[in-house]
Amino acid sequence: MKSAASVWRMRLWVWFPALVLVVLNLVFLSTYRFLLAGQAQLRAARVERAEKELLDLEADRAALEDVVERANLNRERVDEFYARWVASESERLTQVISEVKNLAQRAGVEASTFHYPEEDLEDYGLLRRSIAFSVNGSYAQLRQFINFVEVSDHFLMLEDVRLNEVGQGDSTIRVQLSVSSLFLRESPQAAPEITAQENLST
Amino acid sequence: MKQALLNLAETPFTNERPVRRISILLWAASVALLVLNVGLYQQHISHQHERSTAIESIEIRRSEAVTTTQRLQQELSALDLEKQNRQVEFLNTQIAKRTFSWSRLMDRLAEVLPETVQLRRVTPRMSDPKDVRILRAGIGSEQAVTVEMTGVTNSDNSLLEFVDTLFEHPSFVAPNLLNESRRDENLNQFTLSVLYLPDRQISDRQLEVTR
Repeated sequence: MKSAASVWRMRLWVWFPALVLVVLNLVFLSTYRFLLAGQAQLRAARVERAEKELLDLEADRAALEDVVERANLNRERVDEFYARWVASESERLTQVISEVKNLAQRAGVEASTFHYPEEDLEDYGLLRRSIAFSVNGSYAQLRQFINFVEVSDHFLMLEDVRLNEVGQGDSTIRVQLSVSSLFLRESPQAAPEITAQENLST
Repeated sequence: MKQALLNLAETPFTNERPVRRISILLWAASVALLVLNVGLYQQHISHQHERSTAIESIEIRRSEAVTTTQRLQQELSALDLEKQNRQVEFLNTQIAKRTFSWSRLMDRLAEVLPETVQLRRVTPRMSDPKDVRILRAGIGSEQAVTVEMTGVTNSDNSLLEFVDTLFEHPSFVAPNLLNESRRDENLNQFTLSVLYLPDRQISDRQLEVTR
């Protein structure tokens, strides 16, 4: 009978390659378990972090886009407002004064003593020109006049209504009104430029 | 007496069973481990590839987002948002003044004004929604206009009645009697301010109550 050791030696080609293969596989498995899996986990965490950063960045961008969009829209609306409602005094002041007087006439109130105080709204490139005046008429005529001012095509703002006196024995009242409008503030440089152009053309 | 060892087998007996069993076990384990490893490595490689692609894509999107953000920030700083906001706020106030209905205010005042009280001056001012008085009144986002009034009356009770009616009327909030002075024996001059809500709808029932 052969000894056990000699049997193992004799069948070395059967079990030894399998053993080597097992050992190699275990080496690969532990490499994966302790090295590659850790790396993969780190990489996955990096992807996750990068995705979160990207989401934050994209949220910031979206918010910024929204702000820019709204700011541009506001800019357009402001420009539209200026183009539609505001003109320089040289273009529209007399029209506005004339409109107020016409409205008073149409309402049947008697307007008198006009003052035109001016307020410089430099920050907004505007001037506020007020038309302060007295009107005489009945309450109904005064209401009619106020209504005309409200529906006027010009940008008229009724600022203040002050009762001066009530007629004795009749329904006439005397009221001090202040109506204002906005005008474009003409820049001080505009005049020399025009002069220069005129000089050139002449 | 010692017994002689006699082996009559043609070839000597060898017990190969442990070797065979262990070999089978080892081969089976190696195959199983091989399959496991191949699967794991394949999965690992595929995940690595996916993650690399994801990182690349994230980097591209990130770089795009950074570029766009920088461009938008430049655009925004060029817009001078603070100045524009001030301008918009100012223009909104002007538009509110322009669209403010004096006629409706007069109708409302006619509803609350006792016959013995005569208004001498009415000045509406567009109120700032952050105004402490508006916040305290709890109006919320509703548009409020501060109306300052100066008037005269020949009776103390009429003035108080006027203030009470303002308190009761749904279009007026927080009336504030600022001062009262006797001009002559029969005439009291007063100044008061009140928050007016031009957009508040008044039902007929409410009008009946306040009239």
